[in-house]
Amino acid sequence: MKNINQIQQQDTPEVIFDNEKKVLKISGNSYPENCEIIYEPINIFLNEYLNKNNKLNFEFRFNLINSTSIVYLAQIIMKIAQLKSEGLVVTILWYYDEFDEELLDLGEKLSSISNLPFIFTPVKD
Amino acid sequence: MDPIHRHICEVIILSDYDIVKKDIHKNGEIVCQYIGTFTQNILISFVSLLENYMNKSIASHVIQKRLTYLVVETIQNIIHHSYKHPDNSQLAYIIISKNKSGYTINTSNAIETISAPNLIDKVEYLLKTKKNRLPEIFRKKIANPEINDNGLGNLGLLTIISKSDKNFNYKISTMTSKYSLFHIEIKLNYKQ
Repeated sequence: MKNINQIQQQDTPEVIFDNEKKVLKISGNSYPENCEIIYEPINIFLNEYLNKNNKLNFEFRFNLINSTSIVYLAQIIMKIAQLKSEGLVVTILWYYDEFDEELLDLGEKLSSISNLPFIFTPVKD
Repeated sequence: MDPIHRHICEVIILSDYDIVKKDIHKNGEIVCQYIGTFTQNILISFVSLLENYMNKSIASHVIQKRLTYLVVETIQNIIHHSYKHPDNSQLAYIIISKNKSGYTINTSNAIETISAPNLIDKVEYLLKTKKNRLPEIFRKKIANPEINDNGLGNLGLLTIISKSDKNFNYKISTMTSKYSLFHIEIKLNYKQ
């Protein structure tokens, strides 16, 4: 397991890469004052990892996410979509609170703009 | 802001705060509020307070979640876009209240009057746009995701107006020659 986000606060997500399963997991809240400090390390990791690998799984399990985090996340998703067209094998699991229509809608929008199939899974408390 | 402007602005914001509170007490009650300088730590504390309150609330989980998203965006709007003194202090407020029909978020903060026309244009454009077109505008924005020079996504107002289903009222009133009051009222009905 590799911890990509070293900043552990209530407004920042946990970002973990499971090397054995090739899964990048982003979970929790994402509404920091400065989103770049969270998403830039993810970009750096992805650039390094995808230079040497052609398979990656994502697991998104957000709680609260702010609009600027969404823009950073969209940048990552669009980049993955481009790499998929160049041969990357990718799966994306999108977990959401069963009552969180906003989060489901966000996942559907990200899937739609990127043409990447997301697997949607509602989570019960 | 010189001391006279500062004093005038603070008196006006405090008066606005009192008027809003009195109005709330006519047919509702305050859920939580904050007045002072807004920082990210205040936002984190406020969200915790709200989530704690929500655990005991009988409102639907869908409404609770939407209210929390709106609070995050409105407070970050104050943090990033309101006027702050050179020492980073400010006087702004947020009040979350409830009554028989739903929740209301009220915020007020100072802005530089010079920035008001641009803000009015943005808000009026979004308010004139049909409700069902707002998610499509959001979709187009994230399809071409751009971060501005300040590291922001510039989707806060669109998110607030869209998530409130356009139950969004605002006023911008002149406080001094250089500074104006920006007040937002967002209503979230229990029945959506």
